[in-house]
Amino acid sequence: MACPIDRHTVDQLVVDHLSLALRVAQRLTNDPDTAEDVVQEALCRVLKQWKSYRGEATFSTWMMQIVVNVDRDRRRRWRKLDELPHELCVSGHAESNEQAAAAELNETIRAVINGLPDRQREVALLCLGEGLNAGDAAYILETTEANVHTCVHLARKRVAEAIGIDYARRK
Amino acid sequence: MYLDNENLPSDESFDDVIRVSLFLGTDEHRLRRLERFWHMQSRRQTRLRQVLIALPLAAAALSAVALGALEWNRHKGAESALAIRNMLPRTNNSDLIDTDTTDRTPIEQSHLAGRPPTGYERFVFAARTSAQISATTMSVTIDEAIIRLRLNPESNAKQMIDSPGFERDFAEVLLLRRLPRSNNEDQRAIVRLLAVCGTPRSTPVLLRLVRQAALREEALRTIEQIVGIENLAELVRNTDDKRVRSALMRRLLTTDTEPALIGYLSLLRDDGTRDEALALAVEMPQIPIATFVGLLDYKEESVRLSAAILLGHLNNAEVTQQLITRLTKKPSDSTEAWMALMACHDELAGRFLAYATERPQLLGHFNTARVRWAQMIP
Repeated sequence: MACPIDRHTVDQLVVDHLSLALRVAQRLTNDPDTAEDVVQEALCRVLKQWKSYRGEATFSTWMMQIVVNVDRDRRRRWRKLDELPHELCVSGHAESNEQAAAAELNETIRAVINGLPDRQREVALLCLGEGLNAGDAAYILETTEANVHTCVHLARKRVAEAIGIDYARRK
Repeated sequence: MYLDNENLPSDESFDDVIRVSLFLGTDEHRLRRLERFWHMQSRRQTRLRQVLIALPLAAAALSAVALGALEWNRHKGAESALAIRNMLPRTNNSDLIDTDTTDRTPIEQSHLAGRPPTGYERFVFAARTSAQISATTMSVTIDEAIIRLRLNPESNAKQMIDSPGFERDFAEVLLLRRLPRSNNEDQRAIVRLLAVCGTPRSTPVLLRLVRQAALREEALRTIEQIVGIENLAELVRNTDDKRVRSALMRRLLTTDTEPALIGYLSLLRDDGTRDEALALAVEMPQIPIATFVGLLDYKEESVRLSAAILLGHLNNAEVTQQLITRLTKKPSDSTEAWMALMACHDELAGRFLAYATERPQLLGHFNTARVRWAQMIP
């Protein structure tokens, strides 16, 4: 099957979805500098592989699959070494009690999501963080929709437990 | 408890809560940089594709021209030979050969000098030779630069980075990307290149390399070039790994320069690093004692006091000797030197202090130092 897009269209689509790619990379890596490196590597791969795009998913989904794969490769490479701790930069300080409580809630949820096993974390970041549907997430992560649904369910359950909600009683 | 169990949310609103928590803004600056990167890589690939298409065509055209020229020459040669033969009178073949050999002037053969060429001769030969060293030989890619440095560690890394083919802006990113999957030799070459084009962004990765004994010296040298010797102390404070801290402190102590030692002394003023820094100074075989003694006269009091604490802690004969020399030459304005000597507990220091108590010209300074010492130690 021929490639459904030409080079000029690729150029345009990549620029259109660069922001999404950077956001996804930042979610996956928890570090803005590393995220930028991941996206750069992903862009190089897009240049090499764009002819293999067959149009079975949207271009942005296909591109996100590359970003996720670059991040997985990166993790594999550095797994043996002790990584220096990376902190997600959270700017601003909560001023009122309400803001402080909200910030604490956000922090707890982020910590729970970051503590999930790799697959569940990726699903949670894509479906809950970026709002992708199960089909797209399944394509990006090369898994089944059923598996994505299971992972989302587990992630919700873990978050609910962490913030003190009885998930079984929830509507 | 963050949410009320009585008003339990539905899946959608619960997802909304999570989405809000995971909200991430877009960094416009990074985005623009990535866009630039994309356009640049895209253009480069287009050029490469054009070259790849043009190359076989050019080769084919060249071959065709060469073959045509060859054929034309052969044809032309045959024609002129025929014309000459027709112009010649009909003679015997043997006569023709004889005439030819007698008329020929001998070609003068050049003689060998019987010695190797001098420097001047080599220069003239090189200047007149048609083989030109192209400027493009310096336009190397990252991979070429790494290979060159690996094969010849004496190569000039700065010259490579500054060569026309090198895009300095992205060199660091590309080098950092290659670092984890390279072997030791390549990593060494990459670290040398980072010394030229690296920014503080490379520091965490280089600090990881400091843990490996084989690359430690190279990585430390590169870190020093990137952040400057005066900022190594700051890295010591921010590093959790004890081996890395120790290596950085050793670097500060062995670099016998004022900024390095002042940086090291700043570690003595920090509760978190003081014990480690003092223990390392005692362990080190070669300490630049003379420079530390010189720092007793530094304009900042904190530096003078730290130098006094260090020298007092070292407490060896050489320190005592140099402190006594210093005090004998300039007994006034030396409170810190007196304090350092008071911390030395060897016999020579004891004798000198006893001598000072009997000399009015020394006693005043000694007493000032004692009062100051008493104020410092509660």
